[in-house]
Amino acid sequence: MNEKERIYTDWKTSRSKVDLPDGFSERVMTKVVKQEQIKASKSGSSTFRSLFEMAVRILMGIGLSALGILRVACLVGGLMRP
Amino acid sequence: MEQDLLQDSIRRIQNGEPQAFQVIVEKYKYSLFVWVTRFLGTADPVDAEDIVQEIFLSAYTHIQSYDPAKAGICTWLFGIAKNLCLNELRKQRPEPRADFDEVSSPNDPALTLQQREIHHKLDQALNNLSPEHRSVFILYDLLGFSHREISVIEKICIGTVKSRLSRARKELRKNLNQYWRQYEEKA
Repeated sequence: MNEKERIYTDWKTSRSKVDLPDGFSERVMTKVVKQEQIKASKSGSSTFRSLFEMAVRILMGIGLSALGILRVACLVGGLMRP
Repeated sequence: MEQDLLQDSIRRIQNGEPQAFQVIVEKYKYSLFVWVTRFLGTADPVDAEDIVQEIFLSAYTHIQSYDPAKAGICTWLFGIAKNLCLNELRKQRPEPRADFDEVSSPNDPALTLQQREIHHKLDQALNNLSPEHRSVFILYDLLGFSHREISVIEKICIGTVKSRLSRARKELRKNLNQYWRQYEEKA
């Protein structure tokens, strides 16, 4: 191999190497775990929200039904009044 | 054996065990760092680290959609890397290429001044290649991927991989010959 080829091969070899920053894997895994926690807390809060919405809907239904019954009772009471 | 370990880790991650992702990080961090550093020509390792972290986090987020029957985990990761780095290049336009001689062979006592100069010129020539040619050259000549693997990563046919590789090498050789002539004239 002549010198030119050797320099070219050396260049390729040196460029196939890098110095990895210390603690890189740990930083990635910290972010992964954090991401997982955020996802879990989001899914927890969305479950609570959907339960709350369902409860509000049921209570509103009960309230409206009570008002309807009251109205009907008043009408019936009014009609029955002499 | 190694493939089994990787497949097992992927299955565990998909079943909600994030710690298993560490196997993937350990296995591919080095080659992804090389690819990102050379592809973007980043002089600052912190810049490369941010992008490699983003690659891993994106892979983790989308791991549920990863199908081992379609592609190997390595080609899948490099596909993500390519998309993120192309976005990065678009943001950086016009491409400010760093002198990554300082990063790549800092004060290597084995290199003479002329050799270092030629290495630096070759770095510039690599940076001046189009992203498509640069990517194929790095994957094949620096990281040792096969034509088939590159064709999956780049989503091109094997013939195109070969022609891009040949063009990239030709361009680098042209530069090398030019600098070599100057070097000999000086000597």
